[in-house]
Amino acid sequence: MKNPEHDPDLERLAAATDGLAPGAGFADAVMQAVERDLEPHALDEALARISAATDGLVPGEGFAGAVMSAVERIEIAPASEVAPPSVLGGVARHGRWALVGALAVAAACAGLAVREATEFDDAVVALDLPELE
Amino acid sequence: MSVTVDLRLMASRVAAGDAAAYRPIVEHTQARLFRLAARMMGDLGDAEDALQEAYLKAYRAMAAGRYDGRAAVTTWLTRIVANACIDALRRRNEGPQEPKHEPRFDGGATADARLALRELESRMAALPPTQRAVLILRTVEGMSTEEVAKVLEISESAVMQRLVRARATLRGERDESESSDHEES
Repeated sequence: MKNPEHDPDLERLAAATDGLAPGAGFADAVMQAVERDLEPHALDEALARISAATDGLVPGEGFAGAVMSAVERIEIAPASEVAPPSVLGGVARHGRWALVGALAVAAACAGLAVREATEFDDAVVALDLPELE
Repeated sequence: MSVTVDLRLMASRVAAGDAAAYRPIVEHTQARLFRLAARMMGDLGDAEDALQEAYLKAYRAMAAGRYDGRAAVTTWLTRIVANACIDALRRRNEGPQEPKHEPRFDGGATADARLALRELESRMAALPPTQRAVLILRTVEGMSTEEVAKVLEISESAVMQRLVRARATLRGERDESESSDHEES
């Protein structure tokens, strides 16, 4: 049975073209074309002129002050106080809330238990059972 | 008299919670970065907005200890300003045209400088922001290919590629306008 991946014609063509390589000067020609493209021309002259004309641009006197006012409004914990994230840190952060929740549930349960016990005692008293000898 | 400011030392103080140490960093770098922002944005008011946004972003990163000192402070800030300008240009290209506003802190830009910025803007308008950034940094700011690559955090070959594409786009624009002028005449 013929193997569809084994095509002698394609193999022959592949073998025949295996040795193809650009001529010795190809890389140089590419680089020359790139350099030609980067050579100064009208655009570069215009950009150089614009660069010179805008060289003296500076922000106004109040600029740094305005930046600092905005900076002072930002409250950021200093890097030294920012603990790197860790599993224990995560457990500590979320565990705290879990503990608060558990305590609240425990307090509610205790309250219910006390109420139930009190109600039970009252019910027993209400039955007015004879004293056991 | 020039005063030498140890920007790395100031950056470490900011990281330790000393916000005031950011002032010398701003004062020392603002002229150069304002020029870059003005050239990138082609407009003084937009340059001010982009630069202020970049300085605040840089402060937040520095204060949170995200400046790792691998690049010089000026290179790191230049990167943040260039990226802020690229983002602002994208917003400008994608969103509705907002009316231009005058800079709030007039640094006394000469008429020549204003005209030059207007010319720069009209020449660069057709370029995607990333190509525009490479062309401005390389040609107008006069940075080397290596410096541009460091600022934009891309490879030097990517810088060259964007530069070639930018020039091709501008050449295409020019040829198109010349041919339409020719047709009209």
